Amino acid sequence: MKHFNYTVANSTKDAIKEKSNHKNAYYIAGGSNLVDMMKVGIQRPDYLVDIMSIPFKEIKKEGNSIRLGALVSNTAAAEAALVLQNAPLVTQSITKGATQQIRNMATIGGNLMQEPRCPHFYDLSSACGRRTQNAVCPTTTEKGDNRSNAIFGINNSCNIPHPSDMAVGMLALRSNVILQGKKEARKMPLGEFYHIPSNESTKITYLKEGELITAVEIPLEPGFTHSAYLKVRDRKSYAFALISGAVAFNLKDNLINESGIAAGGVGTIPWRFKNAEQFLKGKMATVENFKKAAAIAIQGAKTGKHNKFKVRLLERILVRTMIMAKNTPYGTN
Amino acid sequence: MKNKGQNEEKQGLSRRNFLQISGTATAGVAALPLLGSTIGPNQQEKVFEIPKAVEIVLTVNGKKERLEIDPRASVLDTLRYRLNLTGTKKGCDAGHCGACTVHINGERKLSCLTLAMRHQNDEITTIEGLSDGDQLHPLQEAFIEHDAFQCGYCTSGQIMSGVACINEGHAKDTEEIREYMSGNICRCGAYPNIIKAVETTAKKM
Repeated sequence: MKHFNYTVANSTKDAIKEKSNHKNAYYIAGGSNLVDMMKVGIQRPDYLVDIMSIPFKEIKKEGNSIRLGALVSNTAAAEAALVLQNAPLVTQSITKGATQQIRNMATIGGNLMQEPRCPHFYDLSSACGRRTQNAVCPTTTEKGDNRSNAIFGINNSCNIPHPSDMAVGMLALRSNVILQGKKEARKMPLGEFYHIPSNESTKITYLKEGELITAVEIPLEPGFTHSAYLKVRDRKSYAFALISGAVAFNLKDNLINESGIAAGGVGTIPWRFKNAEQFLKGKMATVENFKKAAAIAIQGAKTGKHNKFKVRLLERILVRTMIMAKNTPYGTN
Repeated sequence: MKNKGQNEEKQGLSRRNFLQISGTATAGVAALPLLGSTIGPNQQEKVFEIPKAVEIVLTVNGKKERLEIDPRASVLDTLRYRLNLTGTKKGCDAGHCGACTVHINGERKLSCLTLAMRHQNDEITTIEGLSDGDQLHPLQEAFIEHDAFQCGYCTSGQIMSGVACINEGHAKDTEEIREYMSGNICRCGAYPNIIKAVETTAKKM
C-alpha cells in the first residue's frame, strides 16, 4: 500500500476544506471497500480525510420522508424500527448484501459509492475503463467472458453490473441523495445520481469534486404499502447478484396506485423500470398484469455471447418479486 | 514432532518466535514497515525505523496498548505482529473469508480491512479476550463438544462471528444461522457442526 497522510475531519466544512487543500485526497468512511482497493493498489490516495466523526448518523422522520444519515451503518439502517415500518425495502435489500461483518462496517454513503468487484477492475494488468480513461473492457471484446455483464446501460469501457443491493431497493422507493459541496447543498433523485460508464471518465456518478453525500432521503409520498426484494445469485449467501428484483406497491383493494420497480445485476448502474411502473398504474395486482409489466421492462436489453440468459431470468424475477411484494404488506417482515 | 516442539520451548525457542526472528531477518524491505518497529510490549530493542510512524493507543481485550505503528497497518497485523495476539487469523486479507473477525465496540468486523490508527477510541475484543481466565466461553466449549472444526484456521473467526450472531439475536433457527454466519468460510467444510455449536449455545445463553 502506498504511504498516505491522514487527518480526521469533525465537520463537513473541515472535510471539504481538507480534501480540496490536498492533492489526491480521498474521503474515508467505513473503509470496507477503499482499504481493500488501497491494498491492491487500485486506489492510491496521498491523503485520507476520515469523515467518520462527522455526525451524519441520524435515522429520522423529517416532513414526509425518512432521512438516513450518510454515515449510518448498513446494519443500523436495516434494523431501525422507523425503516422497517416505513421503508422495509431498504431492510430487505441491505440484508441480502455482503455479510453482517461488512454491513457493520459499511455506511449508507459508502454503499452508494462502492466500486465493482470485477476481476478486470481488480487485476492491474488488465485493461479497465473504470481505472483508466478510454480503456476498453476485455469482456466487451469478441473473446471476452461476459456471463456476468450488464444488459442495460452498457458501454465498451465497462459492463459490470453495479454491485449494490441497497441502492436498488432505494431506487425503487424513489429515494433522493443529499449532497454537500464547498458552497452549496443539493438534492437529486438517486436515479439521476448515477450515469452509465463512459469512455471519457472512470466515474459513474455526478458527484462533484470535493462533494460529500450527507444523507439519503426516502420519500413517503408514493404511499407504498407492500414491498419485496428477491436476489438470485450463484451461491445462496454472500455473493453479488446474478439478478435481483426490487418491487414496492401502493396497493388498495388489490389496485396498484403506485409502483416502484428496479433491478440489480442487469444495469451498469442500479436500474429502474419506469415504463413498467407506468403500465401498472391503475391496474389490478394480478399475475397477468405482472407478466405484461415484466415483458415491458426487458425491452431494450442488450446481451453478449454468454449472458443471454439474463433477459428471461430478469423477466421471471420481476414477476416473482411482484408476486412476493403483493403478499408482503409493510410490517410483516 | 510434538517432542521436538517441547524441546524447542525448553530452549527458549518456540516455533512461533523462531519464525518471527527469521522473518524479520529475511523479509524484504517493503514488508518491514507493516510489521512495525519493535518497541511493543514483548520486545525492547528497536531494530528499524517505521517511516511516517504514528503513535497510537489501542484498547484490546480491556487493556490499553501504546504502540508506534505504520499508519497503513491494519488492526489484524497490529494484533498479530505487534501485540502477539495470534489467535486472530489472517486468511485472505481482503475481506472475503472472515478468519480475521474481531469485535469492535461489540460489533463483529473484519480486522483486515480496518486501519488500526482509526480505532483508538474503540474497544477491540479478540478470541483471546473471550474466555474468563481458564473458563472458556460457552461457544468455545460448544465448538469442542460438537467437533466444529478440522484444521482450526477459521475457528477463531467463526467463534467471534458466532458469539456476535447470538448476541445480535440472529440465531433463532438453522436457516438464520446459516445466513448470518455466511461471512465465515470454512475450507474443511465443518459447517454442519459449526451451526450445531452456534444453535445449541444460542439456546443456552
